[in-house]
Amino acid sequence: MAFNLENWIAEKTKEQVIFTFKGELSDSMLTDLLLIVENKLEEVDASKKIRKKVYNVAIESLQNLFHHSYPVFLNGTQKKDVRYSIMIITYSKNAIKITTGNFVDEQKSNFLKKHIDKINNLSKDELKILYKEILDNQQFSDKGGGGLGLVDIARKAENKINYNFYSDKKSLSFFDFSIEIKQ
Amino acid sequence: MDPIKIEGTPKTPTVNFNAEKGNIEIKGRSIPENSIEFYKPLVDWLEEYMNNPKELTEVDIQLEYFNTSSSKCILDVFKKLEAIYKGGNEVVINWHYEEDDEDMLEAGEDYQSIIKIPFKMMEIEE
Repeated sequence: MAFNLENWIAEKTKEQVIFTFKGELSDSMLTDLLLIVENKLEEVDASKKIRKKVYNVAIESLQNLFHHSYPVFLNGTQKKDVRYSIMIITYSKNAIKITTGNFVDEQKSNFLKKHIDKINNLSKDELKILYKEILDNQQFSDKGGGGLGLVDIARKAENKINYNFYSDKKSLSFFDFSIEIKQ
Repeated sequence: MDPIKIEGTPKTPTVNFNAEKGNIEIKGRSIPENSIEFYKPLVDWLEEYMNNPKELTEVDIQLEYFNTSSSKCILDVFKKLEAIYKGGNEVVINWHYEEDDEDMLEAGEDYQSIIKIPFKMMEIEE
């Protein structure tokens, strides 16, 4: 079955939604969204420790979207390609979940698959070692941390990353990313 | 040497670098998209300070949040301080973290294991 964005969003917003964003992110918008997320989290029934973890993951996730969304043409009123990004935060008694969606090219999806599989196979201590290795030894790209963001997300969430790629026949695919911070 | 005084914003920290006192302070949150832009003047300042540092340089880092883009820049700051320390001057890094914020304590420990300068882990009680 072909991938349908609206169905995907509907599927991901079945639980109690704390925050959603869809559209193209700009620098100034990112600043505003981070403030909104922080305020929304203040209202959530969770410990300060958990809220801080969620906010940390939200910061990295939003900045990943800002830097790495591939421009696409979507049906609708937009006349040009946009770096379409989605972020959803949902709440349940047991966990707060952050979901993001964006389009990526083939090179990036190959990198992400390999990188996330590697992260998901590491223990807490091994993740710490990988984090320090990337921090200290590797060159950073002009856009970010050379994969440090996802390692940090996995460390802060203390959980595995869930992901999926939905692709049509073109070289672009939709990157479905989520992680739960258990309460 | 002129001090650096920068007011904090929701995305960037308060910075006070004072060569005469030998005090270096970064406080607040550091979550800009482009951290290099923010930290470059700080690293440049330390580069100059290195030539004539105080006998004791006291560093206070008190961050509520920092993103991974800042983490490398903070390491660059520490590397300059490490060079001062290796040059035979005293450097103390006070890493402040909020009570119960184990992630921030761990972040300090990560830096401590990379940088060969004495760190003091200081819990802020609420």
